[in-house]
Amino acid sequence: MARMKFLCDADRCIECNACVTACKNENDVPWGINRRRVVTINDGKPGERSVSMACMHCTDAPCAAVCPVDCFYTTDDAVVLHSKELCIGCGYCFYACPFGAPQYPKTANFGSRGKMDKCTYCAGGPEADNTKAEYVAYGANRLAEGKLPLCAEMCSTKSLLAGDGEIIAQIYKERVAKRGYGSGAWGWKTAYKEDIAT
Amino acid sequence: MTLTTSLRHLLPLLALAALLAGPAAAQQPTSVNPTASSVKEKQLLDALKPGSTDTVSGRISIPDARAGNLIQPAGKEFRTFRQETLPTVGGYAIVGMLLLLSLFYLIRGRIAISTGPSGQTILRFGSMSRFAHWLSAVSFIALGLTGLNLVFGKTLLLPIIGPDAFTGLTQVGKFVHNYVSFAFALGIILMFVMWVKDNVPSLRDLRWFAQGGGLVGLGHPPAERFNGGQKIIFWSTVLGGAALAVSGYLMMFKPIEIAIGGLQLATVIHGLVGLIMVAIIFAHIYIGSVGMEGAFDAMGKGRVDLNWAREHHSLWVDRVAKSRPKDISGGHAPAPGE
Amino acid sequence: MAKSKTDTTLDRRGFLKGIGTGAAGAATVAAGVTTTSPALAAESTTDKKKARYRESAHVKKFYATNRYL
Repeated sequence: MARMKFLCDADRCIECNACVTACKNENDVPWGINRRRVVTINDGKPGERSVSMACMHCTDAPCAAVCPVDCFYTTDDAVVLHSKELCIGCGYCFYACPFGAPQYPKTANFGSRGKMDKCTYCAGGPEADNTKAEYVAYGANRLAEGKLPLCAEMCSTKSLLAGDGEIIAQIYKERVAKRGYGSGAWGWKTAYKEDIAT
Repeated sequence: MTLTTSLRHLLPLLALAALLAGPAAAQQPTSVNPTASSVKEKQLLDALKPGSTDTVSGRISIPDARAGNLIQPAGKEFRTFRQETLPTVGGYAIVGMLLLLSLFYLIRGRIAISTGPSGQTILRFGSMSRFAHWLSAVSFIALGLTGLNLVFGKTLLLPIIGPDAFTGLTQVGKFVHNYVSFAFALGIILMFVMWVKDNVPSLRDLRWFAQGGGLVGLGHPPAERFNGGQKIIFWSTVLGGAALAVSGYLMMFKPIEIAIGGLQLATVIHGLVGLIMVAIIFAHIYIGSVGMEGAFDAMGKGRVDLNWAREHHSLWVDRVAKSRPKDISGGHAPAPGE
Repeated sequence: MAKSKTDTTLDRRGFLKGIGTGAAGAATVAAGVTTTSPALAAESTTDKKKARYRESAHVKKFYATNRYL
């Protein structure tokens, strides 16, 4: 079975933030929440790289492990999703997540955390596929439509890859072989406990 | 002015022309490797001090500054703490304390007033003291139960009552925990202000402990208004309560300056101190209720039997008899104002 | 902005509903009945986990455009 992954080819990312915008628009992400963001490392220095980062849908996800109400589940596509019906907005998943993916609207008492929101790999949530209820709570379910996350699909420089982990790793390897360089698959070691040998 | 602006418009054009002309000159395939000098994830991760809460971070163009953290490996330690360390430490502390108390009860039984009740009573805690105590006590029980639910609920309660009921309970628990914390903090402050002068540690406390405090050995070592054991309860409540309040309000109000490492640390402190305080308070509840005859009256009615007070707080009774004899009453007490 | 307004109303309703299902859930525990949330259109535990991804023509095209051609 295909294992969904994200891969940001940092040598191609030009920090246009179109993935961020596309995600916000496609999923109607609430104000103040960014499911995806672009971080520029060593900004202004030689060797600067930008990396587009969101939930990496980890193997043995730390968020799921620390959740006190067990609201997370991993689909057969290895996409890590959660139920907003069950989430209490405690913030533990944010503390445990290596990628800072979980986000919270400030809706609860004292402006504290509301129900957590994060990248769903454009795969909706535990409501029925592509219903209004699912869209309002979790956003689009492109995976059920036979599509991939919009951030990757519309990446202008084809930097952000999504889809079957083996296929995108192969694409990346081909790229590295052809052009002769590659700064590696950011976050893979942390998220999937494996790296792409190039 | 116009000359400089037109020059400014011209400059990029010139640069563009140079660029277009450039590739023709440098066309031959050079083995330029842009990643040779590029920032490497592995190096960045290796550069982080192990065990620290440092993150691999960079510049971000969205307003949320925290999103600049790209990778924070400290999350792994947080996970280990929350899933293994905290339940283990808390479990041992609480179960251990309950076992210890049960064992103590089996061996020592209920500590009775050895001379029997006198029928006379002495004022031990005024209404304000009792209010502060019960304010803290009731809120601590609410906070303790909802806190324990966050640590052990998933393993103990969730399989029994199911995810929907458990979420409802835990969600209400979160609100209760947030709101009741203010009552608890107020109670701690009141108790601190009212009782700190009687809780300064002294040499007598050491002698009290050396003689087993009347719990282990026979006979009761002399004690002031609060004995060594009570001082331990007082200071662990005040200091533990302060630690819980500070770490808790850091998590609740999240001042922007607090980075994720600080929040993780606050959670660690809050969890450990909370669970250890639950264990300590079990001992306090035991000795104040089933463990000792006459002890509950102090916080229940506010007046304790004079013989109980003479056994446990002899020096205090002497002091009260001299300075405020009105506080002693009932039975065959001498007429007030004697 | 209008969206976030609906979100908060949904949140509040969710909270009240949560209490309701909590109490109902606790009540049914005694009877030994497993309850499912009367959510709008919730999927079953197996349904929500089933694989959605398929290598459609759309996805194949994505892979192709990402390769060196």
